[in-house]
Amino acid sequence: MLLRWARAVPHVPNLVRRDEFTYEIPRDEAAGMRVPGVLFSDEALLAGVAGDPSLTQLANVATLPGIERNALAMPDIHFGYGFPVGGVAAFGLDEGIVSPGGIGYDINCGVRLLRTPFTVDEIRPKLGGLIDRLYREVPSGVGSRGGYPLARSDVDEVLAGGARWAVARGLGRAEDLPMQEEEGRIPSATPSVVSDAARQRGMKQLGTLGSGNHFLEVQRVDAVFDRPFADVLGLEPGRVVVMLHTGSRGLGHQVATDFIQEMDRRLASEGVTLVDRQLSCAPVGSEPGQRYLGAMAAAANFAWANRQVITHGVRRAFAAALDRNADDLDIAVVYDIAHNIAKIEEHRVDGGTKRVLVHRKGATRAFPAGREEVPERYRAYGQPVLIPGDMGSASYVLAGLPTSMDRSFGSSCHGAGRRLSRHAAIRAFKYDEVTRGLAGRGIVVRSASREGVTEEAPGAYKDVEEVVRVAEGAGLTRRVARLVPLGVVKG
Amino acid sequence: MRPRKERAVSASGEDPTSLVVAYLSQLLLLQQEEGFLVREIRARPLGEPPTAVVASVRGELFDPARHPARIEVKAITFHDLEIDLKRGRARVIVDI
Repeated sequence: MLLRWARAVPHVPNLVRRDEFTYEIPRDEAAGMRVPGVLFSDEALLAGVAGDPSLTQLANVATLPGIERNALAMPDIHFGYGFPVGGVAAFGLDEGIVSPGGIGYDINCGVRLLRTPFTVDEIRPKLGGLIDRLYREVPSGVGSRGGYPLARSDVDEVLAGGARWAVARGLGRAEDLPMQEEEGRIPSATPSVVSDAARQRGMKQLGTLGSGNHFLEVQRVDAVFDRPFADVLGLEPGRVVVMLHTGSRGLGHQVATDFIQEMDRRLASEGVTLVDRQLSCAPVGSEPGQRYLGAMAAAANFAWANRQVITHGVRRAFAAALDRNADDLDIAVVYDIAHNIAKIEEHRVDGGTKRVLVHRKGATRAFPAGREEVPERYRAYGQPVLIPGDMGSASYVLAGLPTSMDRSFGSSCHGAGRRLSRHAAIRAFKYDEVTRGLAGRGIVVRSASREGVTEEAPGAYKDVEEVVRVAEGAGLTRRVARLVPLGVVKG
Repeated sequence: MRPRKERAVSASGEDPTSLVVAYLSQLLLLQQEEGFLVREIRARPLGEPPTAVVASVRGELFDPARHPARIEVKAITFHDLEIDLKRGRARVIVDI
């Protein structure tokens, strides 16, 4: 199949307000748009994206073949490569495409929340020692390695087994698995199509956080908005929880790099010019399209194994810092969510149901109550959605709303969303001021580098409160609980 | 960084733009796979305009005691990539 589409969107596209939280880039705004672009936002958040290329990127996505309904952007939209971060798009399996740039370089970057049996009063006196332990048990920072180094012969098993591989190795508990999206493993992964280069990058990095916006945070439950669901999740005010945010490390970056280049070459040889080469793609059913999906699933499994190994490190660190036996400590997985991934799902399209490939890049799945993909224990309430805020404000646990299915293919936001680029943040903030500000509020920070702190300074992010409020107003997710940081381990 | 060891790097592309992405991705991989930091490059472009490159690079292995690592490059992107073949320059945006 030959992909062809017109060049589109040379300027900042026009936005039309459809309702309080919905804005549209009309289909006739630029040549080549097959569907409208739809953005969930409000005036305050929109002011933050004015002049950045993310709206143009949203319109670019609308030009891709086989796109269903709308090209979508969540309230935390910001600049990405190819697709904007916060982008969601679904494509028909027969006529649509898969684009590695619609998943992102960090395949299955995601968030996991762990519940501890402790209250904030029990942890506070030991917080400094605990954060030091976590920093030691979970390697972080640029090029971090050494968590759980793999032999070459182990890599295939990790790519096929995901979190289940780690649990089988004693790095976790069987009851951790059902509390994860996909139970921590996509069965259709094809390890054999993951390149040697990607394997090399992954072998040394399992069980490491990495750098950038990845973190491990000890938090306390600050407020509860949905008492019945929060009770089921075990999140009552004052409870100490641990949130970790990381993905597939260099292995996923290399899988994305490999396929973006391969698909770009194929398009060039077919004479197809894209509006943005970073959107390189292949038909879903094509050989390269299927091969990418197999490799993406393998990288996603690597990420779930990574978060599982880190969970093991967290348990060890708590045991050591509190002088307890790790096996007796009831530290449980609340949920684990992917926010850079593509999935085949059934959705309502044109009055019927249809299986489509949903790309979520910097966006989460947010299925409502009743869906069988939601863990049984949570099914009456909706799928948990984990939203990491910046290290100075709050993180959120949300739950999918029924209206998300028709509004956003069952998707929601993934975080606060950057306001300043990493580079701009490093220029705008001083390390000493950022850490002093956090220390003044009792927040303990350990980082492998000063840049790791300044580039993630609270002021570099949009207001997470505003993002989750808009996501609720737009009918995507409702608030369940707010979490605030006690201590942070930064890459 | 000291030019202590030598490695051979080669890359090809459909056009100069994809060549630059492929070539820089190879250099990034050298660093990611074995911690090889590139100090000096001798590169020979092939084709007019170039669609392949053969290079010999010299450098040394990453040593945390001497090499402060500040930012991790995840990938080389096509985003707004600009090439000036006359002056032999390119502007490349990397994902960090």
